[in-house]
Amino acid sequence: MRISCTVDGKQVELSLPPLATLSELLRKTGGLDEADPSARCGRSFAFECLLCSVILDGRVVAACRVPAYRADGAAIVTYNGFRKEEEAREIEEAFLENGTELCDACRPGVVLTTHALVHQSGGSDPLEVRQVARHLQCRCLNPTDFVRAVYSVSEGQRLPGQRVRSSEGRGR
Amino acid sequence: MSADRAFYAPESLGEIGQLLRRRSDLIYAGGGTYLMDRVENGDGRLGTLHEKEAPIVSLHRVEELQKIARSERFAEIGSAAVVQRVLGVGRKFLPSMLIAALRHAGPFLIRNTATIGGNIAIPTHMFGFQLALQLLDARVEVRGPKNSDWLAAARLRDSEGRLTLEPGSLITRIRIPLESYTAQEYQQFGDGYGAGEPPLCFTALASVSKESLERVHLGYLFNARSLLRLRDAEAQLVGAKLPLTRKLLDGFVEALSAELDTVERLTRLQQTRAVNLTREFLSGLDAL
Repeated sequence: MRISCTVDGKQVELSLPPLATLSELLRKTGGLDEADPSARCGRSFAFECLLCSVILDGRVVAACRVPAYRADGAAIVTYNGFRKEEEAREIEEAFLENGTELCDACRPGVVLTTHALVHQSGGSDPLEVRQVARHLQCRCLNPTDFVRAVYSVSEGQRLPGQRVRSSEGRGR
Repeated sequence: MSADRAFYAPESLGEIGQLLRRRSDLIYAGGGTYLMDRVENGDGRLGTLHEKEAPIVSLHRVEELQKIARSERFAEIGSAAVVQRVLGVGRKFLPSMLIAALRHAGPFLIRNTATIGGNIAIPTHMFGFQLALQLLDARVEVRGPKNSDWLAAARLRDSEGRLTLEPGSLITRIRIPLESYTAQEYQQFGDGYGAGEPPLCFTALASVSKESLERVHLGYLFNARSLLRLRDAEAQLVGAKLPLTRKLLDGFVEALSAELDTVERLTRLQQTRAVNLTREFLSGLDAL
């Protein structure tokens, strides 16, 4: 099927089988560079890698779990595109300030996931942030530092209506 | 996978109806996350359908299936609503145990893609959300090749946990009663994909009126396949004064233990957790 979309602002059009993944599409369009760890994504159901995280129409998704047809008419931003933004630099700085130098393997996923946590839930939902942190498996990243970094990005951006809470309640 | 497999992205339920009149072996894709997993692993239902070259019908453009509506008594959610969106919108009015179940529907990135219809229509797995829907007496609208009908969420699976949907049938809406409960609980260990510890979902809700137990529902899901409800034992508790007597508590746990012995491939850890969570929930009702 013909798929037409924008990848990091560039219009692309290509033919792919309907059940190809978004990762395959991005490899073909150069959105995921073969030299980049993002292109070597394995399986993210267990959320262990985060390597192929991309922003699809404003939402961060795992490209290996998204069918390519979802890209038709969509705007995709990869880490390669996002890292040129000021926000990417702010996020990486927040991690550095909280004691983590992100490695090349997890940087794309962690930066984009932090962006999503800050923008989708305002970074103010401790359950959400801790749940994501629990799944992070990279050796360069400590879950507590991840939580602190997300909070500090949220605070820095002073998003409207945002409030950082530290306690989490049970479902009762 | 064949490159010339038919693919459709209809924009309305009417278009899906037209496709269904032509052939009934359609594979519906909500977010497509499960489909991608099957493609990669090449097994399960999709493996069989591969041979038949069944067409893929993506629901992502059908706006009718993405609506979230709320009335005084019900919430109605379109089956193609993305889990993370339901969490965002529904947090204010959906029962807290349902929200907790949705949070466990998958990692954040997956919840940004997966749909709630897909979550309950996966043939090989059941998730905690399905168990929570059953406890809340939710109903699902199923549109078949000939007609559409509202079914109790419990009727989506048979006693073996197999999906009962006819080929070509599509879940279009989920209707969730909005009632108030005195206590709600959702706990999950492990996940539906077998990663980590043996999967167990426990969910419970209760209503208390004038220090008596007006309603109590408890549900258990083991290994993403075996769903357990103890309706008779629950009925024994209804009307009981709080705090529950030791005899009533022990009676319920005894009935639970007897049922647990019949569940296949249950580990000692799962069994102990199920019993402890049950005891904790029921004895915690005293404090309400």
